[in-house]
Amino acid sequence: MSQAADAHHGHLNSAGEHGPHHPVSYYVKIWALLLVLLVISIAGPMLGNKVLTLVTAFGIAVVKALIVAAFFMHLNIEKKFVWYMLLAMLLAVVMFFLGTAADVMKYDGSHWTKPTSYLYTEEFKKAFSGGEEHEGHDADEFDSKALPNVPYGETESHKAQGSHKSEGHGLPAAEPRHGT
Amino acid sequence: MAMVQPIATRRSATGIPTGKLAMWWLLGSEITIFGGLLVSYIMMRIMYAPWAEAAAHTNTLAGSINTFVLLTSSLFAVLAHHAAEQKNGKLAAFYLWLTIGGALTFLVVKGLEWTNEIRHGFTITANSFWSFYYTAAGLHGLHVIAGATAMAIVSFDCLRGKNLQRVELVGIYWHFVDIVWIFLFPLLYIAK
Repeated sequence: MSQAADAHHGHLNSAGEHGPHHPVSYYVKIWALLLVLLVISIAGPMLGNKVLTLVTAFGIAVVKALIVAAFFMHLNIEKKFVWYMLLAMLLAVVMFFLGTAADVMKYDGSHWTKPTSYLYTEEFKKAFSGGEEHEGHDADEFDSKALPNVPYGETESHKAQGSHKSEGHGLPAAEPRHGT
Repeated sequence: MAMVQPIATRRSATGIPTGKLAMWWLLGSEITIFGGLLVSYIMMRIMYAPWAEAAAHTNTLAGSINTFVLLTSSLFAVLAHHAAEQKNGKLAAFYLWLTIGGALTFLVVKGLEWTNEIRHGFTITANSFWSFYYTAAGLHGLHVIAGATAMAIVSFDCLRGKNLQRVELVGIYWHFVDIVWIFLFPLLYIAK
């Protein structure tokens, strides 16, 4: 669209496009709203309710981000093309997520088991968080000690024989999971 | 047009000046970079119990102060754009320097925070959580430095009343840096 075509719609800024025409107080109000949301997002998780934490911490983060994008970046008056482009990029992130989550979010399937699968078991979680004070605890050190116990390709047969239970890492092996 | 403007400003095939369109594309690519990082973090955090333990050691006060600082610097960035719209280059430069002040404050707080964490043994090699923590916050910190540098360069033109349209472009970039932090903040500091 040329500048001439735009001109009859109103004022053009130095870049040849419509500029925002808000007073300074408009932006200060939005900033104040963002600060109120910030306080809520800090205070909410202090109550210790898991659902409330998710809503206040992450729900409000989304709201804050949308407010900044819409009113500070002026996406509310930007051409739809920009919205589509940004949404396409978000879709790319979702595709990356779906592609990797199928592997990362699972630790065994019908023909495979991760060597570190015990890390994701309830037993490990209990053993990890139920122990003594672990100030400065090194979780990866724990990881490396246990790795050789469950090599790739042997886990299914080991599980069938029950031969590697409580080896090395002192934790029960992951129970086989089916239906994946 | 009294002054010849660069082609990035004059040409407008999509109805959006090319310079601004380029900035949006840059931010589109940044969405995949930071989006990938954040999604990786969420997957590991859900799956791997020690990450929740490690996250409990991050400094919520430092994170909160820095969120406040970035939100406020975003206000200054949009006010700089507002001043540039009114062809007030000197005021735009003033607000840009206030925004740069926010960037420097952010980096000082981050420096103090990291120093304290490293002194407690939480280094980038301590475990995978801290490795992620320094990578994500470090990459974001580099964006803060890049944004502050770009704003400083633009501000010198503003003082001479030149290329005022660029104030909006650095502003858009800065707001994106703010948005990335808005998501890093609850992930690293709040959800414990």
